[in-house]
Amino acid sequence: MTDGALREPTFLVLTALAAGPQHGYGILLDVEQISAGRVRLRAGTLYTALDRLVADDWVAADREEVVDGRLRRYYRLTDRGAARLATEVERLRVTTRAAETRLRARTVGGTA
Amino acid sequence: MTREQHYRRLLALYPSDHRRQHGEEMLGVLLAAHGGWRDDLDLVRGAAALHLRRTFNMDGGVSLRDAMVVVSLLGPILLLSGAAPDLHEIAWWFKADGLVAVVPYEQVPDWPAWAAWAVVAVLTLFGARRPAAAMAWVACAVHLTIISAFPINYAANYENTGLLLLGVFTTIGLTWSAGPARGKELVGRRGIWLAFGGVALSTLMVAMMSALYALGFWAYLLGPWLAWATFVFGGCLACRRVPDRRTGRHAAFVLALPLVSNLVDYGLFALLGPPLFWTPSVTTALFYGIPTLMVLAGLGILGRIRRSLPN
Repeated sequence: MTDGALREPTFLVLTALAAGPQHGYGILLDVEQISAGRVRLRAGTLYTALDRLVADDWVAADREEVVDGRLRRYYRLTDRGAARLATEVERLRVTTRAAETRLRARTVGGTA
Repeated sequence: MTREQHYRRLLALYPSDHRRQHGEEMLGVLLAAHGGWRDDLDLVRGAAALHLRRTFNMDGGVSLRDAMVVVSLLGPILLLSGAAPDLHEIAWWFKADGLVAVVPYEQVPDWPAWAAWAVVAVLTLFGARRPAAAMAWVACAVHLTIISAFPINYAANYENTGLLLLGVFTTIGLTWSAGPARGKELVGRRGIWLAFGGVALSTLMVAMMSALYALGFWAYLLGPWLAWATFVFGGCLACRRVPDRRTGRHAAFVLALPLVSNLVDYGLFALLGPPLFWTPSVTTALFYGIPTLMVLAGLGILGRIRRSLPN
């Protein structure tokens, strides 16, 4: 089960953190951007995911700061999290390549 | 009500540890985001998910070793309440026949098991972990043998499921955890006295069972439940003294096995009716298997096994 497919919110949160540490609201905005506006995470979903990712040691708290009197905590991808994301990217690449190949063959077959 | 007050109310639904660590941070994110009823629903769903994760220890936040240490200390004490019906029976015979009464063995077939658990309790309280663990294995074997050997006379076979299961988990705790000495550090002397108090009250309830009959048949039927609930309650109060509340709650859940397994058994009977007893092997598997799986899931062990499996 450890190498099973990641759920989309998890994949997107890990991807958002791959470029560098981000705070909660930053992750929400980044996920929306990465998914081209298709996925809009909400705070409840984000913090449930972060709770799981921190427990699994895929994500860790990086630093805290206070902005306008409100606590802002930054999260970063751990080495373990980066490895897991790389595995998922490779898994997606293999399946995407297979889908592309078959679609191309179908198109070629259809025109022949 | 301001938006901040509204969100604070919703955040109050979250587990306390999560609220302490992320409450202010989440509030900041919520106030910066668009808001609306979808955010509210998402918060409620997130709170439910996090409570579930904590209930089944999926976040690994509960120290299994400490939970089992508490079980290894309090389990032998609480198991003494299994002897209450036998003591009540023996007292009846002495009352009827005087000091020379001979109690038929069939009336108290399980007394060797409770005698063995009494020895375990004494050894545990004196900190003799290894002898206590060895004796606990003997007690479990004796109890299981009696349950198997007296299928007809031993009418309370299924009612004893929880006591036998608690015995097994206690034995596992005594054998593989840090032992009762660490348990004493966690619950303190007062915790031990609370457990003993629960057992004493439970014994009293068993003694008063016939008096309950005067109140009506339903009160009489309620008697055993009150007895189980009383000693389980004593165990739960003792577990409240564990500094880490979640570890205490998970230990209390294991100690509540006699009550939990009876609830499961009655639930199964209500659901399936008499066919439940048509195949004894299936009945036994259900009566022992479901409470065991519930404890394993509650301690997060099933989740760990699932995660460790190859894809």
